[in-house]
Amino acid sequence: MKLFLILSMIITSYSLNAQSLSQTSRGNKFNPSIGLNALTLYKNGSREVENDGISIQEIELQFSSDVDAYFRAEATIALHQEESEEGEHSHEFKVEPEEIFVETLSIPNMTLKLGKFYANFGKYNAIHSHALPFIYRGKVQEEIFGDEGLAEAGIGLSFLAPAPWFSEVSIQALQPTNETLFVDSHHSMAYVLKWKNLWDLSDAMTLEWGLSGLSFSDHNHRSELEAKTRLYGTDLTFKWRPTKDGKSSSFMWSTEYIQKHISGTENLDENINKKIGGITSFVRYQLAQRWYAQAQYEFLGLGKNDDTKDINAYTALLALIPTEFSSIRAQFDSIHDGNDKPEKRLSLQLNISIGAHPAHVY
Amino acid sequence: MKVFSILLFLGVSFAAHSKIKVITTTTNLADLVRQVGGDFVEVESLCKGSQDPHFLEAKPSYTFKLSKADLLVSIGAGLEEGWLPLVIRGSRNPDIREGQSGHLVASDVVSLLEQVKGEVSRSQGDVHPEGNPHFMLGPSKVIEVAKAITSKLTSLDEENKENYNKGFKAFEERMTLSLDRWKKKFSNSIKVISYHKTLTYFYDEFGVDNIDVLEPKPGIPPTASHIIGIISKVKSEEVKKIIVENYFDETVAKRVSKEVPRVQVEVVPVAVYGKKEVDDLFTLYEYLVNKIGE
Repeated sequence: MKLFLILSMIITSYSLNAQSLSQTSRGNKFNPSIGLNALTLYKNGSREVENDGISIQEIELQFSSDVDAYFRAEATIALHQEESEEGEHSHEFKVEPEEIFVETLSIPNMTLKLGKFYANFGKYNAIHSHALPFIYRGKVQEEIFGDEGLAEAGIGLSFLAPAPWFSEVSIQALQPTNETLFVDSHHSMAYVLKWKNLWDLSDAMTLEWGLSGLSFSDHNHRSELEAKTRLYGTDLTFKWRPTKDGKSSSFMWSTEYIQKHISGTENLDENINKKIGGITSFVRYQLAQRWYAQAQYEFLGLGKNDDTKDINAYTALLALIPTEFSSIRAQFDSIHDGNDKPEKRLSLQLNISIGAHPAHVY
Repeated sequence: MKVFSILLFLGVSFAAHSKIKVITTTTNLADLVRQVGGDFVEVESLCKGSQDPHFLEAKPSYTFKLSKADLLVSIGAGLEEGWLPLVIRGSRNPDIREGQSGHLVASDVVSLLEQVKGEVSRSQGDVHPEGNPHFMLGPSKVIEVAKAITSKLTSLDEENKENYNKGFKAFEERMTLSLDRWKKKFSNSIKVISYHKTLTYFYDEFGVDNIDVLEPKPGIPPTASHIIGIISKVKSEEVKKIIVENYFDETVAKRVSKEVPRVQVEVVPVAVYGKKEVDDLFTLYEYLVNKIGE
């Protein structure tokens, strides 16, 4: 209660030229910004052939608006075609609230966030499907967080550290529901910490470095059962875009390493103790104003403590981006997972955006 | 107690002489703030003179700069909408949010040309329904913006009101005199083709007839069929120059010039520091006048 009172005082005490709350309607000026991103996919692979062909990979419906003088709200509702089970073809769509949150606008130096949102862990977990650098999330992300990334209900606080460069610290407390990472717990929270830094090496070059950690511990006092999840990650990204002719040439190199350790007693499939880590590294080169070429290498199996086979995945992508509202991407994956023959996959994606299209994170 | 008094004195005197920290989105705005604010402001532009402000990326380092700003001056009219809102939010500086005392949107204080009436859709290209946002290339419009900057700086730093008014008067006087001199270079009718509608306000100021643009639609690169139409217009309308803003590719303009050799291609800066010798608004307009005028 005391905490609630203090928070309310901080939020409301800051002087603002607040819009009058009585002004509830003035044409459509106060309507939220609405945008829709649709990803249409053609896939032809050597495995999971039941998912081959044309499908709607995902549709993201985004709403965002200031709530009042103190809060801003954002909602992303995702619709995606469910993956087919072996031997049958699924046409079902699943609707999921990917993110629905409010964040503060008026507190100086910090942002408080409340709702369901992507965990601010690493460089790519918090990115929506339409803005991912490749057509799929990647083997390391899927192994660590599951197919759809880590998004949970919770509360977050972020602020800029007092440093002479961009240095952002983010702390989040999340209600754990992700089955890949946590046991279902109503009493224990998962805590995520991220430290992100960016330096301008010149007007054309930047270097970004991040450190991330996640900790979850659950202890049931009645049954004495325990469950623990620990994630550690670091990411490094170099970007170059010249100040002259910057619309037709650019380069990016990004690498992310994540290590996972899940341990527990019976309720986690009997004394589980699983360690696995992976590294993802890719380069993107802009060939012309509308053309990009990308290549990615992933290795999954770092620091593991069981005899599962390592995965080496190689990806090449060519993108045609006519405007910031549409792109056509062709991707080829070769995934070597220890089976006799590697999985080969060819994908073609059309990515379109209508309505409001908020700026992408750098 | 003595130490405390000294510290208090130092603190007060530092506060009294600290400069207003201003961040602008473009170098043209930065120069204008410098002209008005002189030594009483510390100004930096996010966009460099050779960059197209439509397509800047939301760099976290911009966020860092805005977190320390007393005042943000932006163009508005949709020019920075692809990156600025994210940078403002990330700065966690409530004073510089749009509508707050520390944010001046320059397009709010000038009447814009080419406002779109009726239906508008993205099939028309990168249109700005609010109007053309390149008003910083119209010297008369810039005087209006300078006036608004003077009021804003005064409201943030009442103590230096006289200095800001002095800065504005000097700028206005010099610009008015320069304008009279520059206009003499446009006594004959001048017809041009441009790459993008960046120089609309400059043409409006000096009565230059912009016959067409190389882009078939705003933001869409030239197509072969559009260029064929441009070539026939260049021939029939007696166009002498094709003006290409230096953040666009001049290849297509040169192709037209090859077809119609009497047509000259001029690659021009449209922002302060867009070229080495262009280091303020006066040298920018002087450069444009010499390249476009006769």
